Amino acid sequence: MTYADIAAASYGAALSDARALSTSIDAFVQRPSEEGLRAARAAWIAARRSYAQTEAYRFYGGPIDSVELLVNTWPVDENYLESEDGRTGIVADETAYPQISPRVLAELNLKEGETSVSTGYHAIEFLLWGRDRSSTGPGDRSFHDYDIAPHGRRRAEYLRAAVALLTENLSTVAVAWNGRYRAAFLARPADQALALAVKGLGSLSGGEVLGERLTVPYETRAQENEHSCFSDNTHEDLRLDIVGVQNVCLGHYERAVHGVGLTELVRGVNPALAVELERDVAASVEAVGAIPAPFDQAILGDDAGPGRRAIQRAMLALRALADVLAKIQSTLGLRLPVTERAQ
Amino acid sequence: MSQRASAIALGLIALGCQCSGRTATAAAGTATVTDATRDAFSLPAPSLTKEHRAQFFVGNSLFNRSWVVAPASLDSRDGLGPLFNARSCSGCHFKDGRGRPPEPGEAMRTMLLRVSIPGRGPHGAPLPDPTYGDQIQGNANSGVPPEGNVVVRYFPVRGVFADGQPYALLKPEYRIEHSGYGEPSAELLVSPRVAPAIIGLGLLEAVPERVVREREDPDDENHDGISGRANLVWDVRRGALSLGRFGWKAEQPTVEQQSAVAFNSDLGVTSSLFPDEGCTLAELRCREQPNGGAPEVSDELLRDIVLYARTLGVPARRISDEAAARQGEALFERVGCVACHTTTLRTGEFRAVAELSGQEIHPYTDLLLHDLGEGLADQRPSFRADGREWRTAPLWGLGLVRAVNEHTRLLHDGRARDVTEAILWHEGEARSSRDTFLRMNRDERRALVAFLDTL
Repeated sequence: MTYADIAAASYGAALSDARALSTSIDAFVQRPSEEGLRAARAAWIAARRSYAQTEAYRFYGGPIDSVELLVNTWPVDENYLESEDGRTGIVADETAYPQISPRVLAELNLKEGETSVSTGYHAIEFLLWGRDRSSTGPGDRSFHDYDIAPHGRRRAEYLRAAVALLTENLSTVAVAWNGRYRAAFLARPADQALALAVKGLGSLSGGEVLGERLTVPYETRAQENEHSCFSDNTHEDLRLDIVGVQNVCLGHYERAVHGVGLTELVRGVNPALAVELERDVAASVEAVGAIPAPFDQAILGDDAGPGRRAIQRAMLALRALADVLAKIQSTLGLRLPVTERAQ
Repeated sequence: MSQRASAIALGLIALGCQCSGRTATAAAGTATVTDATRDAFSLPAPSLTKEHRAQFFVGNSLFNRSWVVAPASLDSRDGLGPLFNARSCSGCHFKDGRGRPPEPGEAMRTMLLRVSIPGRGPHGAPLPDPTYGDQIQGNANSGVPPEGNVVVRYFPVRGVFADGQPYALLKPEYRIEHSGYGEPSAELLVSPRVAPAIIGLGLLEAVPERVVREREDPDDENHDGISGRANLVWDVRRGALSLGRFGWKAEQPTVEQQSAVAFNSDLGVTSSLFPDEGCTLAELRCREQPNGGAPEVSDELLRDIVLYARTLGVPARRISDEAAARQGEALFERVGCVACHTTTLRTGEFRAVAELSGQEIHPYTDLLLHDLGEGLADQRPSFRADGREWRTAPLWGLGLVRAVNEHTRLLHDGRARDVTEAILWHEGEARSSRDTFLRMNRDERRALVAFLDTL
């Protein structure tokens, strides 16, 4: 089935981009420099480009769901990593955590609640950019944070441990989609497999992106609720999330996969619904892509301003998309497997 | 799967779905959600209006985020402490689910110890300890001594089923180590409390008081051995005694007050309902700390959190072994569990969230207090609840705690390691049901547990 092929190809790309990020981080922390930091940041943005497109495979107890909390949890309470004055947080606390290893970070993750994030893309993002106090650009941490600044070596140790854990977790997911999970998924009755796929798409577009990543920052106008708040990459993350949904609908993944998409399957049963799906996915990609960067400025001001208007349009488009996915679920009578659980 | 095969499968499903109506697996009417993953307790009731849905997500973000010490540059979330148990709501209600006792050597994180001294305060409330107040807060802002670490030790309690199968339960004992303000009084009353899952709270609030009180039978006039009593507790907003619905002893009348109390006692965050930091006269350093504004959580933010806590959906039942589940359900009824774990209630008109009105719900609680015997007693009275009484715990979502929180610890202090142990601890009014359970054969016990696992 094309769905499993796209999932495998998407995670394969996410893994190889995360490995490139790891290489880049290694080079940077070995010899900290302005160029090294710039290259690591570029590698992070490239890694996000492929990872965001895999979020379409979340939310149904699949391979990613057992490690997602270690991979992409947000928002990060950056004070958990290092406080503003630098005196508290995991980086500074050499007594409690004499060594920062992937295992130590995994144990600390979410220990004090859902924003006490110590691992994954957004912890790495904070380590590469630092707090974003700029209205025009992202955070501007100095590369000296990795040499002469207090705790420089600790931060380097942290960054390497965090990226090692990230590639390790992505690797288990990529392996699962190429092997055992893929086989189990394909062995399911068609309606169950489709029910899972549609639930994933609906939860991402209607819950995660529409609710948590757009509605909350829109309503609160608070940067702390911005998805990639340190790097100002939020607009791209959001757009690529929906591109991931589109991949499943079209049955395409970049150049790697061309097959039968969800839209085609729906067309076989209810052509009118397929037209709606096609239209709403395209409209969502367009509307989310039209949100201007930086996102932390787009949420400010009054509702008639261009940033907030663009976000309103994106929210409307996603609402329509989530509705059509729900309609597909009910019209096709898709029932989730009874015992589907996160492992 | 080929395109044709899947299209055919879809065609079949499309035909098949015409006969599917409402199923018996809906746990909470239109507030039922279909999810058995880690997110099972975290989803909005599907019936929410667009406006409430937006507010739900805002409330969710507030529920998750960590509070910081005042003053801080992020002014809307400063005000943590001076004394506190957790930095965020999700610190204890992780993924909106259930807390557990610490593993050996681990700090207590998702439960806490309520304390008081003998006697009654105004309206029957517990009398706070003059030094330690009404709960032990193990964390404090810098410069303030924390109240102490609560340490649990377990002692085995052994028994045997009628069929000869032995079992061993864990009886906990609590000690306060490194007490920050002197040795606690010898007469200190302690009550350990695990953070409960917070699904379906608005629905429980929407059950009319009359419906709850109809089930009261304080003098056991029907001679069934069960004497449910309503707790009557102080409602701060109304300024009157009201039906208690929330908390392990039904000590809070509304989701709003429960949330504001938790902000105040667990996070050290003040609100317009509870404007004072919980520092006792003995805690001088605590009293000297700067605060994060008065109040620290605004009415608007509190409203968003309350809406959130009211509208988390309840997961549908998942029945994989139909025969066992049906057998277990019949046993649950026959043994008398349903006398307190009421299967079905109906919500009334609920003005605060109209979407929750008029729903048939299956919470498996009567919201009343029952004597559960000496083994579970905390000997710490609270309003009308005496030291042996507990509110019937809702059982919806029970089978998903493992998926959401990766443990299966149950009861108010998490002493039970699974459903079977939780049943075995029931005494007092539940003694005869518990004794019947002891006499069941292995298949029957397994069926009963299988049924509970579908909830």
